[in-house]
Amino acid sequence: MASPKVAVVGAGVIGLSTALCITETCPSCSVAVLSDQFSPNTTSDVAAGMLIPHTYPDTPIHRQKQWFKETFTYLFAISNSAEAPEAGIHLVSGWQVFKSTPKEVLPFWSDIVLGFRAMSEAELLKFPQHQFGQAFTTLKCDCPPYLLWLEKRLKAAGTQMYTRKVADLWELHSEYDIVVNCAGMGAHQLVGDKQLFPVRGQVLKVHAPWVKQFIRDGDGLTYIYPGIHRVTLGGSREKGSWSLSPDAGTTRDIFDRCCSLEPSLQGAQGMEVKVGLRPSRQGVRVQREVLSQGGVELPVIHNYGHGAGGFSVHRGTAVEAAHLVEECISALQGSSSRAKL
Amino acid sequence: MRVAIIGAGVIGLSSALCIHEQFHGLVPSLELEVYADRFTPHTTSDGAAGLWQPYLSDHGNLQETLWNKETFDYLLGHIHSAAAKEMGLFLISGYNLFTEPVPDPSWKNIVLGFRNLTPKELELFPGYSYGWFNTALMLEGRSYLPWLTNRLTQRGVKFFHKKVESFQEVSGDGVDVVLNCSGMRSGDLQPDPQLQPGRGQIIKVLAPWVKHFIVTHNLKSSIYNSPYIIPGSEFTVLGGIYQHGNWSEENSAKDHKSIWDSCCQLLPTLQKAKIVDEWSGLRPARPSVRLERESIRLGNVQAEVIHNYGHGGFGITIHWGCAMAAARLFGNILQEKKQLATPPGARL
Repeated sequence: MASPKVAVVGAGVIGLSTALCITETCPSCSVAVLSDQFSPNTTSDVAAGMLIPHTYPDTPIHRQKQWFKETFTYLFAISNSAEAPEAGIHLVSGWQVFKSTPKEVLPFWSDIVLGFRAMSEAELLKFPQHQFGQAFTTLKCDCPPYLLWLEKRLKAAGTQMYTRKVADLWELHSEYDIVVNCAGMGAHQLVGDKQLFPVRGQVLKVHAPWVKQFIRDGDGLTYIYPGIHRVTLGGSREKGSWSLSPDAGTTRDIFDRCCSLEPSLQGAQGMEVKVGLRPSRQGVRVQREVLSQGGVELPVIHNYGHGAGGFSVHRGTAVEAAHLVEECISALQGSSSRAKL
Repeated sequence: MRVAIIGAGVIGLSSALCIHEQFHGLVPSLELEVYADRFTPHTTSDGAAGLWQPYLSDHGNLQETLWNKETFDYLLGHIHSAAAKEMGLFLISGYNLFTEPVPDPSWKNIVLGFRNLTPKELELFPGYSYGWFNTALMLEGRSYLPWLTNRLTQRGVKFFHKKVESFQEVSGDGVDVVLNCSGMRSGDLQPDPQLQPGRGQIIKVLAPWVKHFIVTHNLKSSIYNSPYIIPGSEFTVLGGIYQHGNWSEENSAKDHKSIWDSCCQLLPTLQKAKIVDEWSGLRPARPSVRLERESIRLGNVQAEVIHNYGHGGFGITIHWGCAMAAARLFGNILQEKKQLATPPGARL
């Protein structure tokens, strides 16, 4: 197979970063990204892009840690370069505060982020309703800039992008040798994964440039994430809701909760409300599968189900998916050379 | 009783506010007048980035360390107030960088979350092998001075746009107390060879991705003669110039290049930053702050002068502690003049 043709379905952070990894590990591959939505209309565009991992119950912790470490290291290297502003990548420090001391005071990722430590008594005075907190420095990938930067790098590597709704992976078998399924929430329909469910999230994006630090309630429901131009205020977690329409009551509730953590937000301007459906699953599906139909085989690599933690592990899962693509190619080359005998 | 305040920078305005807050209820005839040739946005305080951070060493001057602490605590108490945004006040975290280990500063327990940098953090700053991380405050002069002016105006304080050439000009005719907050130009009112300009130059850029302050230190050189990057609410300030004895308020191309090159080396992402402004100012440097009373005979009149100047590059950092100290001196004067039975706050 001189030039394997790979189709990546999905153009959110997972699809684009996986496509990029494939161009890096398999320079001879011809890669195309197919998606019905591109930035600024993907789920990733709604997210703040903070590197604070979500814990997946069914994925071994060491694997999650490896994914996060790989992602953090990759972005850390870019964050201090001249490319960082265009890529939307920047460091941000802040606090995660808890109303009562959590069972786990040292999360698995505490040694990967920078300067992780418990908050001092003096720092906690700023949060009268909270008893315990953690201070650290992490990275943020602002969207759309990060996705646009990935698209730019993909185009430079010769990747084609097509706006196209793929209703069935088999549609692609005549044009492509390997399909990589990064369809996020779309995998529910595309591959019929009933373990995948939406968790609706609503966020507010406001102009409050004096907010330089993140604040996150340990319950994960309330957070303030300062981006390059806007601050993302969140949020909501509605399991099973497919609605993409902003809800006014939720907006008021989010704003009130965030103002109680950071009163100066009362002076914030220019509010934009956005909704995204976290493509949630008990474990991220990074897996090879060979579909077969009527004697024809279609190798598929799945990379979806990142839920609330897509940005935190995107590069790690992309690298793993790219390895699976390599394995696929070897298998295909093996079988094609056997076919020649 | 009329009080003349000379100078409308952070020191003059905050001293005026502090005195009015404490004494207007006790001295019904109290009238404050602020005289200055420069008002916001043209004062030295307007040019400063506004980061609360004292010098590395207090040189044993515990009084100044205390004033710094009083200022920090006062500002921190306002951080959640409705006024904070208007005041230009917000929390900010960041880095102090060194090429060798140094003792902890006098202010380590004043700021929040003070700690040493980890090896991984130091990877961000090649050439620096040691440093601190802490959370401090920003108080932007361009917002704070108008806020102080509004508070004073609401209280009936009058403002006069004039260059005062002598204490005599404003004293007499019912003005019994003069507050000398004339900063760099105090020498015009009364010669003070200890007061020297510490010239600084800054470049203002648009770099909203920068969320931390970064202050480097060159222990062989003077403070502020090493690059620093301070993100404000609108612009990021790049600096690193301290020229003792240089009175020029003109921007220097040589200093521009030095600031730009050293800051871009410190933070490569700045290469993409758009330059929007440049400014030079004179830090009113003195071995210690002059905060004391002086009785001056001016013709037939005995005028009481409270000096409050010489705050170098830490005016914003120390201002409120000094304002309160000036107010205490004012209280002493009132007591002596039998305007007050006892100073406010004293127990009988």
